[in-house]
Amino acid sequence: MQIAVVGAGLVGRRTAMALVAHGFNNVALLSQTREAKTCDGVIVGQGWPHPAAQDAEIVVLATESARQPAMAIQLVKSGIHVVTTADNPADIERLWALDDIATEAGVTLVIGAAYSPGLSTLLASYLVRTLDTVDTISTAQFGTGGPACAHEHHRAMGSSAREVHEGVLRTSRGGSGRELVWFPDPVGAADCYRAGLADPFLLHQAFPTVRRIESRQAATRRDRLTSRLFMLRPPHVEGLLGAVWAEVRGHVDGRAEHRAMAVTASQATGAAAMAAAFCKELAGQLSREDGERSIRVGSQSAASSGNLISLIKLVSNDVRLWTYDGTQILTTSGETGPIQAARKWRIPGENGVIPRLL
Amino acid sequence: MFMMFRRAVFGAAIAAMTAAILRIFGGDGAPPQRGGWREVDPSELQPIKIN
Repeated sequence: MQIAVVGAGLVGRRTAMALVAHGFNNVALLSQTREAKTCDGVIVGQGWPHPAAQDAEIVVLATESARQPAMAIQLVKSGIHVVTTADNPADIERLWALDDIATEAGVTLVIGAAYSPGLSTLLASYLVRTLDTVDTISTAQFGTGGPACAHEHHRAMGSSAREVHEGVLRTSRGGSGRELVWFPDPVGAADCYRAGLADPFLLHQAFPTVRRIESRQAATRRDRLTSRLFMLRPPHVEGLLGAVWAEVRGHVDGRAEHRAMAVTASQATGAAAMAAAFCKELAGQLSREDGERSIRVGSQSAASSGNLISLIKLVSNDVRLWTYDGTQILTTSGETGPIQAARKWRIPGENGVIPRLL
Repeated sequence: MFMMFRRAVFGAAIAAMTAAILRIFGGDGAPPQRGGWREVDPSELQPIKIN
């Protein structure tokens, strides 16, 4: 099976390399602007359409976010499965609106197969499905990938945030709502703020009954101060530290519970791992004769995928996966059992009994 | 001058008593000794139901 990766930046190159590592031997990497650098086991070229990718059954769009909706429409109409790595909320909503076209064409359009959205929504979606009922979903991200990602991080900080409140998508001021999020080492604790991120929209599509869905990104005081100006200095070639964190709060067997998971890896590597994992899943489905699909036709995301464990296994080859083992608190009533807390709580003593707050 | 000295001693005594009460009856101040981030293998993940 041939897979084409359009966009030869950090994410595009790493996606091509991850696909080769997954065993695909016909991968084309196409740059939009210049001849792509050679890559072991990958055919490189420039421009789209390109003769080296004319038989591609799956196309990964790793170009700048704003260019992806227009390309995705053409590809979907041509009957090609598309995996997009867009992270701008407006582009994500434009891509999501292509659901009818993709369904009619009988192809899958994967939306937000990147770091955040992507890994963050995958973890959140997995955690949601481990609870009986869910009240709140929170995600947070730290770091940036390549220069385009850094520009997007800067834009997100200075634009309005979308979040779900009482089950309805609403707009909040970007840069507000500071929350100290504890990411796994080597990132550690970081102040995170509301920003123009796409996670709440995608999670709301998958879990429309959840009352509160919010997403934050880590930023410094300088990031917040300068977010509404142009970037004062050029971004780094690559941000080497990256992490995403997802937490859900809800109930299991009638008792309150909250659980947290995280991923650490550089953002470009993590985004590439997510895009490559979706390609692997899609390719497996296309080659299967029974026609069973865990990723349905139409617009899909990591949050709405039917095969979360398989996707997590695939991405874990390239990223580090973490879970938070909380401390246990015994309640006085006894019948409700211990609460597994995903945050640090003070314990009066080993297995100490504390009054239950209701 | 003597009055001011008495007030200072009284103030210091109150502060010392407050500190002692908080030190004795307050929390132990030690962070939780269990729990924290743990790296997991996907095979350890809890099976889930997809609707």
